[in-house]
Amino acid sequence: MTPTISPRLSSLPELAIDCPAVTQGAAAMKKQAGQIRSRTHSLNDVWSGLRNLLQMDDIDSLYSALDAAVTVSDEYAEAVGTAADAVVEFAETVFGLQGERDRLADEISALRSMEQLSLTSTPEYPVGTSLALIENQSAGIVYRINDLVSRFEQAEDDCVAALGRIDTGQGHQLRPADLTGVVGTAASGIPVWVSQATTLELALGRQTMAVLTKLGTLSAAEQRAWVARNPRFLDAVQDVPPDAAQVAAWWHGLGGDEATASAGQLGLIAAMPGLIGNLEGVGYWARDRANRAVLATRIRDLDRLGEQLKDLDVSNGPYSYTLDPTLALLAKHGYTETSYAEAVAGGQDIKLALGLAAAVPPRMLVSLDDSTSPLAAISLGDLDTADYATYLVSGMFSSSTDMQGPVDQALVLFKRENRVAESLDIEGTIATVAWIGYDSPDMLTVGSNDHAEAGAVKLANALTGYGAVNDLRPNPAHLTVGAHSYGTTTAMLALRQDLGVDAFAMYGSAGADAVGDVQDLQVPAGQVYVTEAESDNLAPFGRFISGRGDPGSDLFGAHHYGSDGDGIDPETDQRFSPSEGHSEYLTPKSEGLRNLAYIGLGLGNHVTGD
Amino acid sequence: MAGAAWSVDVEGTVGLLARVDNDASELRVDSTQFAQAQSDVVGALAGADRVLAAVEGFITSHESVPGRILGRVQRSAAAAIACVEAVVVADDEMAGNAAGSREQLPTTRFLGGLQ
Repeated sequence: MTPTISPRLSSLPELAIDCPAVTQGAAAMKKQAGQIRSRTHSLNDVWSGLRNLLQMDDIDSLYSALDAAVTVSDEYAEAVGTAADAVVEFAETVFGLQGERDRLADEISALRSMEQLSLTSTPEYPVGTSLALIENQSAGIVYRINDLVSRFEQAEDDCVAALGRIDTGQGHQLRPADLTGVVGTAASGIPVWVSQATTLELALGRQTMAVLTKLGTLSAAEQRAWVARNPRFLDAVQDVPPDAAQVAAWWHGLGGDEATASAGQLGLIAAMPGLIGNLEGVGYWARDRANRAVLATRIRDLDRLGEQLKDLDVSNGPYSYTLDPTLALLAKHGYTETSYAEAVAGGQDIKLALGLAAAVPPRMLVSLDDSTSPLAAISLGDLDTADYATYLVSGMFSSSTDMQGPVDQALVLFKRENRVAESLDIEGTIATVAWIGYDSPDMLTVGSNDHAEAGAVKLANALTGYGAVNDLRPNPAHLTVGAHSYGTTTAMLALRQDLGVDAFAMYGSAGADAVGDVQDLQVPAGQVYVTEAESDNLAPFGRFISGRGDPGSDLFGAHHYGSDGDGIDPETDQRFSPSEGHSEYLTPKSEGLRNLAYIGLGLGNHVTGD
Repeated sequence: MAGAAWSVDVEGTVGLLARVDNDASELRVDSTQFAQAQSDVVGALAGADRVLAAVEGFITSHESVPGRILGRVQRSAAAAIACVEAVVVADDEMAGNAAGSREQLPTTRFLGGLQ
C-alpha cells in the first residue's frame, strides 16, 4: 500500500541554485569592478599630466575630462559591490536552506518507510509506529517545509529588494560608447580600444605631409617666413616624424639629385636645415647639405661663446657656483662646463671626420642631432646612389667626440669592398656608414639593455629611412648591417622587424637580448654572420655580466666567419694581419675586414671559416 | 615648444597617450573578465527566478559603464589630439586640412563632444 499520511519528497522546494558558484562569481564581479575603478583612477592620474604638456586657453575642461569617469567608476564599483554582497548573502542563506532541505528529505523518506511498515500492521501482528504518531510527525515536517519555502522566498525578497535599491552607478553622467567611433564594440559587447598614441602620430603625420607638400611649392623667401612663424611645427615633426615612405615620395616628387635639385628642395634645406637633415625619407645629398650647415652654425656659435668666456672678467674670484660668471654664461646658453666641452669636442670631431669638401671618397653627414654631445652618422661614398651600402653600428664608448675612429673603420671597409669588387669585376658603387646614432653604454652600463633598446629604435628609424629612399630607386641597393660589441645587441633588437636588410654581420658580440636565434631576425635565411676572435676576452665577459645569449652558439644558427687572422688571404696569398683583442676586427688586411667586405658585397658564401 | 598663449610637448603627449592606451587596454581586459563573472553568476542562479531576473536587471542597467568610461577616455584623447594638431599648425594657413588660424583655435569646438 502507498503511504498517504507522510508528505511527499516533491513537496520540498528544489533549491537547485549552485551557491558556491554564485558566491565565487559575485566575488569576481566585485573584484573586477574594483579593478575597473582602479584603472580609471590610474587613467585620470596619467591624464593629469596633460596640464604640463599642452597649454591652451580655455581647456580646463579637457584637463578635468576624466573626473566624471572617476566618479562613475567609484559609483559603479560601489553599486556592483552592493549587488554582489546581496547576491552572496542570498547564496549563503540558500546554502543553509539546502542543508535543511536535505535533512527534511531524509526525514520524509524515513517517515514514509515507517508509514509503509505501519500499513502492514494488524492487531494480531502489530508492527511499526502508530499512524497517529506518524500523522503527528508529518504535520511537523509539513510545517518545516512551509517554513523552508517561506524563508527561501524571504531570501529572494531581500535580495531582489537590495538589488532594487541600487539606483546609482549606471554611468549616466557619461555618454554611451560610440559604436561607430574610434572606440567600437566587439561582439562580446566590450568596447574595442584603438591606440590613441598611434592616432596622434598618424594625425600629425598627415598634417606634416600636408604642410611639407605646400612648403615645397613656395619660394625660398616664403619658406623662410613660414618657418619663422611656425617653430612648433618643426619641433613637432622632429618629435613625431611622418612616415618615411611618404616623405621619400614627396621629396622624390620635388626634384632630382643634388645636380638637378629643384628650387623648392634647396629652399627647404636652407629654411629648415635641422629638420631636413634628419628627416627620414629625404635624399642623403640634401641631408648632408643641411647637416653641414647646422654643424657650421653650431661650431660658429660655440666659438662665439668661447670668445665671450675668454672675455669674462673673473679676476674677483673665487666664486660660489651660483655666482661664477663662467658657469652663469654657460648656463644661459644651456651648457654646463662638461657639456660645453663635449659640444665643442663633438662638433670639431665631426668636422674633422668629414674632412675636406673634396675628400675622396665623398663623405655625407647623413644625420646630426641637436644634443650637446651630438649623435651623428657619416657616410663614406654616395649613400643615395651606392649599389652596396653597409651601416656599421659601434659598441660601447662610441660617441661623436670620437667620430674619427668609426669613420676610419668605415673608410677601411669602403676601400676593401672596392678592392674586392674590382678584383671580381663587380659593377656598382659602394657606401659605408659610420653610424653613431645612439647613446652607447660605458663599462658601468654595458650590462644593461637600456642603451640597446633605445638605440634599436633609432637604428630602425635610420634603416627605415634608408629603405624608403632605396625603394624608389630602379635598382635598390644591397644593404648590410655590420655591428660590433654592444652594437650587435642594439642591431639584433632592431632587426626583429623587417628593415630591408640583406645581410647582418656581428663581430665581438656583447650578446643577444630578446633574440633567441636567427629565426627571430628579419634577415634573409643564411645571411646572419658572426665571428669572435680567440683573443677577444671582452665580448664573452660582456655576455657573462649581462646574462645575454651568445649569437655565436650553434643553437643561434648564425653563419660563422673567421677573424683570428691565422690563415692566408685567398686573394693576396699573404698572411692576414693578426687580430688581437676586442677592437681589431676591422684593421687593414685583417681577416675580419676581408670577410665583412665580402658580406657587404652579397658574397657571404666566400667568407673564410673560423 | 613655446609660443603665444599655447604650447605643446608633442613627444610628451605621445608618451602620455601611450600610457593611456596601456591603462585603457587593461580596463578592457578587466571589463571582459567582469562580463565573464556576471555570466557565471547568472548561470548559477537557475532556480531562483526572481533573483535571477533582478540580477539580470542590474546587469542590464550597468553593463554599459565600462564602455562609457572608455568612450569618455577616447573622446578626451581625441580632443587632446585635435588641440595638439591645432597648436602645431596654428599659424599655418596653407594646409587645407589644418586646424586653422590662431583666432580659430579650439576650444569648445574640440571639447564639445566630451560629455
